[in-house]
Amino acid sequence: MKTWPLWIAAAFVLALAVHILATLLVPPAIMSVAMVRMADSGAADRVLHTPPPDASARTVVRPSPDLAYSICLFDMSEGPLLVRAEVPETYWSVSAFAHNTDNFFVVNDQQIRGDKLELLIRREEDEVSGYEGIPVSFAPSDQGVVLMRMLVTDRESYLELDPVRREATCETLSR
Amino acid sequence: MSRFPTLFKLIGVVLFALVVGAGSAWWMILGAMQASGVQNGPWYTSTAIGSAASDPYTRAQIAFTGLLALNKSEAVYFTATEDSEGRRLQGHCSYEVTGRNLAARWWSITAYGSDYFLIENDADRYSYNVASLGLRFAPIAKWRINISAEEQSSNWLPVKANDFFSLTLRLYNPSPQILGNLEGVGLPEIRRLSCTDEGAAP
Repeated sequence: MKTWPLWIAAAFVLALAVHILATLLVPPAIMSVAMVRMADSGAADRVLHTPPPDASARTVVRPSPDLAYSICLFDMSEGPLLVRAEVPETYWSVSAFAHNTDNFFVVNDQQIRGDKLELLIRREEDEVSGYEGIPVSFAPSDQGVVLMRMLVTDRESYLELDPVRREATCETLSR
Repeated sequence: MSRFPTLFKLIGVVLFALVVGAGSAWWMILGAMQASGVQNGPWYTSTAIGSAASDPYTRAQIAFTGLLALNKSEAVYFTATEDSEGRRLQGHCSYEVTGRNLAARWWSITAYGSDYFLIENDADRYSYNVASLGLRFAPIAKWRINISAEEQSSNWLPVKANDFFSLTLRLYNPSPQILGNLEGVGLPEIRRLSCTDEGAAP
């Protein structure tokens, strides 16, 4: 009996599986690499503040040289994340990204009432007491990234606003 | 007895699957945004950037070329890899980018090398924006940026001579008029002026 047709069919089925797996695994794989680099720089246990990037910045592709970034990582398996920050008087935003790279939350300085931000990121099923009234965002994955962007128009404004953004904290809460 | 032992057939199947499966995925990912996104002159974008509604190919392309991009409610990112006549942007050519002020809270144009990172240059100049072009209080003013590897006298955005490059146009808090007309809104024109034979990208 000729078995070539079966081998050819198997090759195409396996190629389709590789195609689907490669497509689906690329975003979380790239995110994992970026998160490891961020953790190595200190973003795992504190807020990592970086100056506006230049050509030496190699952590994340296509960085904006007009923005100063502040980064912290979250791991919902360890507990919800409480983000607190002072809002600088310039374009400033806080965004959160799931492990598959989806941007599941964003708010900017003009959308925040007052000059302080409080944000609780948690799993939908997690119960957290003592933080009622704080805006909540549900994380679609256990691990992810919180990224704050602050617009830098010139060196003088950067020196003035940098201390304000450095007030930001990311605190993992115990359940 | 078969002319090809089963082991050889198995290796052939696996090699075929890896090459064709991974290669076709790579090809689909790199062309995702041009295929399913919005084209406006030489600029393209996708309304699905950063969104949970993003298709798998677009999500993978963004992971490669623009990780941690915001969704369109906050920012719109246009990318150009070609000039306005459809020719690949190359560092051994000089270009002028011209346009009018754009209806967004903040916008900028940044040059990236073929590795998607900022291009090293002695001037430490990586972008121009609404402020550095002096347009914050000039809503209809025209502007011009000069892109080349050789230094220019004004508004010079340096690139690397022996490399391809791309441009990213960021629009933070774009107006509803832009969001509702991504394919038709007036975006900057990218015109190639001249090229030198030296330093052509391989």
